[in-house]
Order: sequence, then structure tokens, then C-alpha cells
Amino acid sequence: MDKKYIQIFEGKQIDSSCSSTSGGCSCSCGTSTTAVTIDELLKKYLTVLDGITNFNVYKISDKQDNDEFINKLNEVLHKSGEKLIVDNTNLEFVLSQSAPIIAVDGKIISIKNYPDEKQLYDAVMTGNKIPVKKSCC
Amino acid sequence: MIDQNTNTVKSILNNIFDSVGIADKESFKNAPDKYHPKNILEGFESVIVYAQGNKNSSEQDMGSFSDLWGSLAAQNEVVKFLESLGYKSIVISGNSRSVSLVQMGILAGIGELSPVNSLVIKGLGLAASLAAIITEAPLIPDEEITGVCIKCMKCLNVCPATEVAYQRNPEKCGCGKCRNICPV
Repeated sequence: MDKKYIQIFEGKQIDSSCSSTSGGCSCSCGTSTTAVTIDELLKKYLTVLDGITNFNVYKISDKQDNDEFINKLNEVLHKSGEKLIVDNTNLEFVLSQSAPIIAVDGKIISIKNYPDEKQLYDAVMTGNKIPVKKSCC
Repeated sequence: MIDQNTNTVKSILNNIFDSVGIADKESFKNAPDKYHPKNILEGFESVIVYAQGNKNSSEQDMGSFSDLWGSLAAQNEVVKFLESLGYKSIVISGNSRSVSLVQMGILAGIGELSPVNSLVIKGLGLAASLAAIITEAPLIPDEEITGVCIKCMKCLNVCPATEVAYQRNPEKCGCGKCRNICPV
């Protein structure tokens, strides 16, 4: 089986609050917030996807140009059949509404939160999108 | 020209959103300073407000659009169009706390205030996602509307954040019960 290619487009910060694994949230619902790094998250994903996937993580930078990030994101949007074209003027806004964005073999399967390992594995195997988690606030 | 620009903006947004309205700067003359659009864009002339119904959605975040990419593309198209005419424009997303999207929606004529302080929109009830574009472009405003909320108080009866009508505690908001119960 050919390896699946997973691309992760990060927003400005990574925070697993309100993810399905940590259950943390910034509202007053009472659960705790746990922040993890992208490296820690990738390790979790590799526990179920090692050997069948390659990962590439794209981060935006305040100090350098984001041409590669933008080009790769536009490729994924186009392959996913979306009209939106991202550029430097709308990048921050788009990411504020959608990041993190996860694509498998060039097609978007997840937005707005980091799935847990099982969700990502299922999405990789089936090609189905991961539903946006309903937040409590 | 203002006619044409208004029609173009509405035409783009009506492809994606269920309700679109415009308020002009004059409408905000009594708006509280804390939530005034001039805090976002000092030279604003108009506020374009748009809503998408989501009564049947069980999976999406409260307040987010079901077709995220389509809605972003439409908003982007409007911003680019207005910028091409020389007018700066800023998109205000549904989770903004700097302005009151509900108040903007009322002034733009797309809905009415509900007893739980959210926006009741004809045909969409309380189950709508809102966003807005604040722009320097002068556009033709819409009239405010009345008679959308039928004052049944069903939302008030189920809302844990509102003990007294029209005095919701925003920190307790978020269960979504009002969305499902509004008969409008």
C-alpha cells in the first residue's frame, strides 16, 4: 500500500483545549486545559499511523514570508474543490476560522481541531472527513 | 454607483448566506462606545451583516458556518471587491467580542432581539450563524424590521443564562437549547 501523505497547517498556536482528547476548554464549563506541542501530537499519531503515512507540518511565521505555506494551502484547497484562494492579506483571518487544517493526500479531512489518533486513523483509512467538534462555548 | 456596489455585494453573499442586510454609519449613532464599529474601522460607512441558518446541524460549532470554505470565499470576494474600489473592509467573525453582531444584525434589518438577547431571524429562528464586514464603502442600508419574534418566551424558559428577559449572562451562554426551541 502506498503511504498516505498527511499535511498539517497550523494556526498561530497549538492548544489541545477543547480537543476530544483533553476535554479542556476556555469557557466556564470546568474542565482543564492542556497544551501540547506539535511534536508530542505527532508522536501520538505515529503510534497508529507509523509506516503508513508521511507527515508534513506547515507553520506560519511573523518574521519570514509565508509563501510556501500559502502555496501548499492553496494546492490543498484547490484539490478539495474549494473556491477560496488564500494570500497574505487574508491568511490570518482564514486560519483564525479554520486552523488547524489537516489534509490527507491533498484533500482536507479535518479543520478547527486536532483529532485524536483513532479519528485520524479512521479518516486516513476511509478518506472521510472528521466532523467539526461541537464546542461547549 | 452606490446602488451597483450594494447589489454586487449582496449578490455575492446571497449565494452562500440565507440573510444579508446592511446598516449605515448613521444607524450606529446611539450604539455604545464599547461595541461601536468605529473601534474596528474608524472611517467606516457601512456594516454588512449576513446569517446562515443551522437548525438541523448537530455537528458544527455553535456560531460557525456549515460551508466554511464557501463562506470564507464569499467574504473574501466581497472584501477584495470593495478594496478594488479603494475601500478598506474588515471581516468580523462570529466569535468576535469587540462588537455586537446581534446589534449589527438588528440595525441591518435581518432580525430582531430575542428575550435571550440573541438575534431572531425570519425563517431561521435563533439557529443562525452571524458574521459581518465593516467597510469604508457607502452602501444602501436596509430598514430595521419588527414582528419577527413572536414573544412566545420559549427561549427564555429554557435558557440557563437568562433569568430576566433581555438580560442574558453571556458567561453562561452556550448550551444551544434556545436554537432548537424557537418556533420562528
